Amino acid sequence: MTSSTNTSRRRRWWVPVIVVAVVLALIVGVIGAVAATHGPARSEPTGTIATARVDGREIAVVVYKGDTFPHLDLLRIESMGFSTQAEAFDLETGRRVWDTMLFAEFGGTEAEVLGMGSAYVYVRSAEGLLILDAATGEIVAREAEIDGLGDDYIAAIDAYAWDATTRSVVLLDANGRVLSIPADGLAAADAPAEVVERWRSVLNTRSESGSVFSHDAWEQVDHRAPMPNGETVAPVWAAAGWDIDVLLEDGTGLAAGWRDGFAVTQTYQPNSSEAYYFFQVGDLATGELVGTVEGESSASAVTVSDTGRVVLLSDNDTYQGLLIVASANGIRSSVIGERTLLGW
Amino acid sequence: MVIKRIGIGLVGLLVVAFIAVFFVVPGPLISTAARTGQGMLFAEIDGRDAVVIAYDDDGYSGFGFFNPWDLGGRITALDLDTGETIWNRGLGDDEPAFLTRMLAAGENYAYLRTTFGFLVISLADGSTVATEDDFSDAVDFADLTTEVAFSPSQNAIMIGAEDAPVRKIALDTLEVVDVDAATSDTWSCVVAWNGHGYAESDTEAVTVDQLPTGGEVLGFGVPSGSAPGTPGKRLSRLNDDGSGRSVGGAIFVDPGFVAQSVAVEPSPGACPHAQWDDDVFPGGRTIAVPLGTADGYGVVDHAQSARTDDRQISVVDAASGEVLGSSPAEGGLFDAAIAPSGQSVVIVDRFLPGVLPSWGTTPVTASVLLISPEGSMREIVLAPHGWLGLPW
Repeated sequence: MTSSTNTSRRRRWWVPVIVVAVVLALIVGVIGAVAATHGPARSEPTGTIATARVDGREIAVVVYKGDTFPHLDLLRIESMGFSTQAEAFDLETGRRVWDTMLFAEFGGTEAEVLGMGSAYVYVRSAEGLLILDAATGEIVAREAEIDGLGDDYIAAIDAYAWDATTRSVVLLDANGRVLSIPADGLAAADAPAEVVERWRSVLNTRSESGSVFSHDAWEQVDHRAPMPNGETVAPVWAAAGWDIDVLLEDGTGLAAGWRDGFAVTQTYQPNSSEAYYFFQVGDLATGELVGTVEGESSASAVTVSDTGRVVLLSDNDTYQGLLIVASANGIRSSVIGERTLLGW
Repeated sequence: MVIKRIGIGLVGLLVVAFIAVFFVVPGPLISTAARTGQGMLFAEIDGRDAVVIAYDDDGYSGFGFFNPWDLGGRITALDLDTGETIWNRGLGDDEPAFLTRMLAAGENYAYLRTTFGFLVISLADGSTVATEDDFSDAVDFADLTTEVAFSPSQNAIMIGAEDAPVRKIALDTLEVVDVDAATSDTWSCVVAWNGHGYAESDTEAVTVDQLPTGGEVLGFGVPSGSAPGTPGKRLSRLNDDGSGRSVGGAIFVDPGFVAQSVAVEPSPGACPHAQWDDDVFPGGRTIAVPLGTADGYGVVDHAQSARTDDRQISVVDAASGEVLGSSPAEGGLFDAAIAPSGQSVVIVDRFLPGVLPSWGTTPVTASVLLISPEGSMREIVLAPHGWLGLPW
């Protein structure tokens, strides 16, 4: 009798363990089913790219809106999976250098990278200005923490801009003063008179707030590759398609990559089952095709780095942003905001 | 033994977690969350000037174990002078009513349209006098093609239904009667399904850039010497040439004067030949009437600072620019109206999280600002909930 009772008790000890194990298995099963039946975490890059040489390597920084729903994501529960992040890529290898969460609000917070030096990255947002360490991505100062600005900052993306001439951030404070922060600086101070003149009537005067999450580069294309001597080169390397465009440098209007003897084309493939756009690098001297990557949307934020690499944005068929890097040696794409299976 | 202890521990943990989830955690998370219906009505109740407001009480009230308070659609009458609640009742007899559209009020009855039909409410105590069933012989209010609108000139609720002539219910009556041909020609396309009727959004509050008062016009301008994009603006007395003089020293970020959006009656006899909305409402469906113009004050909707989008409502003296009172309105302006007795009523969305701010709460709730003719302001939060979901 005693032995039977003990055996019965021993069996009952297993019951809660089994119940807990079943519950855990169900949780793991649900997570696994979500991961298996849904695409990877989505990412939507904003329309600007900043490039600079940091710690001996050239990197590009882009800000993007991430959406990990419905994957398990304990970092973004309150925002239902949404966040706004800044991510840096090594332009040589295409690998991620760092990825920093800037905001975790439902729907994503409007933000974009303004510019960078070798030490700091500057991001403007609807909440104010953020300064990140260019090597680690750590947020060094944000909004009211910025020296010389403090509580006089304006929570409006249009109150901040990048002055390419002086390589500095220009900003308007709540008192109507135009301030500037030079590249690799951390403190705001009264901007030089010529900078004030350039930006005084521009900052924070946008009549309607538009989203920075939708940019394209249709004003930066031509059907032939313009060269500095006035000649143009036909993109004979480009795949046959409905439309073939050569991507141009911002400012000069010349073919992006011409200094290093190459050009980048985007070809619209309306009947393609795999991608709507082919991005291809061609040798301007020989007309030979150097490399090809695919994307679902046309190029945006076409940028030429200090070393002559052409960097641009597109996306793939799983709604992930792509950072595409082209050089005379080839072309490579990296997924922006790539997460692990569980959305982390 | 170890496994036994682990098992007992896990069971104990599950029991504690169950009690916490269902009985302890909800308390601090209970929130106040109400959304008012479209429009508000004014009436005299027991000799008191009152505003009648319908709202949906959506506050998280725990798991309902201890909550006797009726959630769902409710209607309340507030004393315009004291802010006291004259009465507060649930809407609808058998089932709750939501998303109420306030049509008009007479001396005895208020007429409402909700997602569940047509209601007539007694202004004396908020009780339901008639539902759409009481009109079923004359009008099928359950039919989605049935449209209603208030006509001040007819002093009646105008009713249109597919394949039926225009009819009306005169205020303070419960009888549906036919209208004459001329009235039908004015209203048939306004109360027609997919016709030229009042757009619901047109009756919500708006802000305007200028406030005409005392023979002058007030506006907002950037302080002299500041960049055009400077967020803070000063109240200014505008000159004919567009220049302005600052009035007072107060700074308002992203400001506008709160105005009532008043529906315009349709052009008489326009319906038979109307093709576009302009044919029925040549000057637009609504006109904006700024609050306070007759009493020498302005109601300003503005951001709390340049650092936030959270809004605020301030009352300013039009002559001196002095701020007479302010109230937070984090979620922004929702509705505004001027009472016949002179008071202004502004409904805003407040941000009122539960006892412990948490992602589990719904913290946006409607709040009523009562502004006296002298410009003093009183705030009434609708549908507050306390511990365990009980009213505060």
